[in-house]
Amino acid sequence: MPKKYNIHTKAAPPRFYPVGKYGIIEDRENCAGSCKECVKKKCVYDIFKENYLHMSEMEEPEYLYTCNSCFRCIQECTKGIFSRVINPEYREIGDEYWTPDVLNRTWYQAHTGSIPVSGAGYRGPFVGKGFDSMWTDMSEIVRPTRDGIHGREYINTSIELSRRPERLAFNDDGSLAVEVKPIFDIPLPILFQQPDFGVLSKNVLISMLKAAQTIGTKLFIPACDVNDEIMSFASCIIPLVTKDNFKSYSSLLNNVDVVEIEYESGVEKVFESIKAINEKLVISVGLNLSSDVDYATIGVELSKANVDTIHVYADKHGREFDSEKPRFIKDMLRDIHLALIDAGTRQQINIIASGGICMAEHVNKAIICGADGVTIDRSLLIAMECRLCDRCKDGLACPVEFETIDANYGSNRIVNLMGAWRNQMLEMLGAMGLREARRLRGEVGRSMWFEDLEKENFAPIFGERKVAIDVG
Amino acid sequence: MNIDKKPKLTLFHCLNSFKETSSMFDGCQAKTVKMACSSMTKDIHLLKAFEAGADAVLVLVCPEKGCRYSEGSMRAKKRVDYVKTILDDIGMDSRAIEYIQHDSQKTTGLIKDIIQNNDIRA
Repeated sequence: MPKKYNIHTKAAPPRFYPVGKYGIIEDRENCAGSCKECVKKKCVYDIFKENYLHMSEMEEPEYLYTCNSCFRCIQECTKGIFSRVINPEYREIGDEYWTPDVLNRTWYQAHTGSIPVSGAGYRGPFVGKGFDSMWTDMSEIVRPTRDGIHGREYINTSIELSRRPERLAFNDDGSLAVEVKPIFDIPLPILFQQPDFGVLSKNVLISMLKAAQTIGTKLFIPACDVNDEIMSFASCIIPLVTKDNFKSYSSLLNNVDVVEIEYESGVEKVFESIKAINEKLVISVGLNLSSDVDYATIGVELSKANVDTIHVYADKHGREFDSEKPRFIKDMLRDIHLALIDAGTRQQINIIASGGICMAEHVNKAIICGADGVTIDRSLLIAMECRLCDRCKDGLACPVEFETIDANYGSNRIVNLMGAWRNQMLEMLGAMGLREARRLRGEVGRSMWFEDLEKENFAPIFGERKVAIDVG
Repeated sequence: MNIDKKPKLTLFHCLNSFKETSSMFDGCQAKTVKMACSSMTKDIHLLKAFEAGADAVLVLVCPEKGCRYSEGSMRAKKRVDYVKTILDDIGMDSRAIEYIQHDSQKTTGLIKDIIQNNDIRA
């Protein structure tokens, strides 16, 4: 029996205090000093004790925003000297898509390798934009599993990157009448991408590559950035080349399994030349989801050429490039997926989606919308404690000293994050009654969409909505 | 002894209005500590900054009438004054700690002046 794939996690505590959410303002001049009921000693999370310990260890003076917001000290102080505040730095990290909560949860997962849980339930709005306007259908949860998600019923998360034949055909003697290429698969529908910003020191890159090697996935990296120091990880590298420059990297292409070529008109003419360099190469074509190109039609044309995978790129928020009213990646993926189904080529090629993937649920949701797998870039930096503060873009020092990170530590954090994400994927797949990530591709029957729910459930009672909510 | 060592400055500031720019702290190693209110500055934190190697500590607060917590700036000032007396008592120069009331026009220039005029003891 083949060995079950599993990601082994090991706790990797943060090197720097994570930016916490809540803090306490203390008007200590008003303290009675003699009430003998000091709430500081009663804090169940020992926050005040931790603060003093922090100070006694001669560390840099920083406030520890580690309060868990239970309000006990605020309510029970006899002189009312405490106020709860939200850490100003917490509000500033990230942006409207990569929210502080996303960052905080990612840090937690990279630290512990565990699924983050919240006892207080979900207090946000019912519907939001982008992926928040669709839900996965957990209707197959009928009882707690007897032996958990890592039990006897194995859930396969592997995906293929190689092209498949349209159909099998056999000769009279029973031999195959069609050419079947070797299957090239990866055990997780998540690939890595070199981020487009940040302190990308040698150790940061090696951290990503080591993590990719450990979990068996790959890292997309511009071919010009591949140097001798990282060539030992060649099996994990997918070099990005163009139609004009791929010949200069022929030695690199001989050492890798997959190559990505940027989409340009007539790109399919060079596939033969690439195969001439390395016959076994899996070819991916990188296509920007821009409003001025008809990506669904291009996808269909590429699928009829000898391409294995189409890698579509949205921006960091999962939005269309160069558009005043940019569409979200879930809608764009649906278009491409359905166009390929209409053309009858969907089963032959694979789609990898980039942009806007910041949580484990986004992986499954992107697959439901029609992708085979996704790539992540910013999440890799966040796993290594990046705060998306953009200080590096302004030439300021990195608050978490990325330049000094140890490659083993960095890769441990990324592996932890992937372990936590995979566990969440398994939970979702199990709850949806699926045993294969590949079965989820385009499976909209396992999802619920806000527009449909509203039309089916509320429209018969209240009528059609006069002003549509923008959930795109 | 390395006489070219850059002086180390620790700046505690209330989040309101103050924005760090890349050239603001040229000529010194700066550490900024953002707070929701300047009244989060405790005397022990200020002393701790010196223990951690700061040559000078600045506390940037909002104008007294503009404090969102009404008494925050006042409390911060009292704590800075208290730390000044402690520094004097133990034989350190109390000028190593300063309290600046934020003024959007002048604050950046004031901090630069403090650094450039060698008010920070290298």
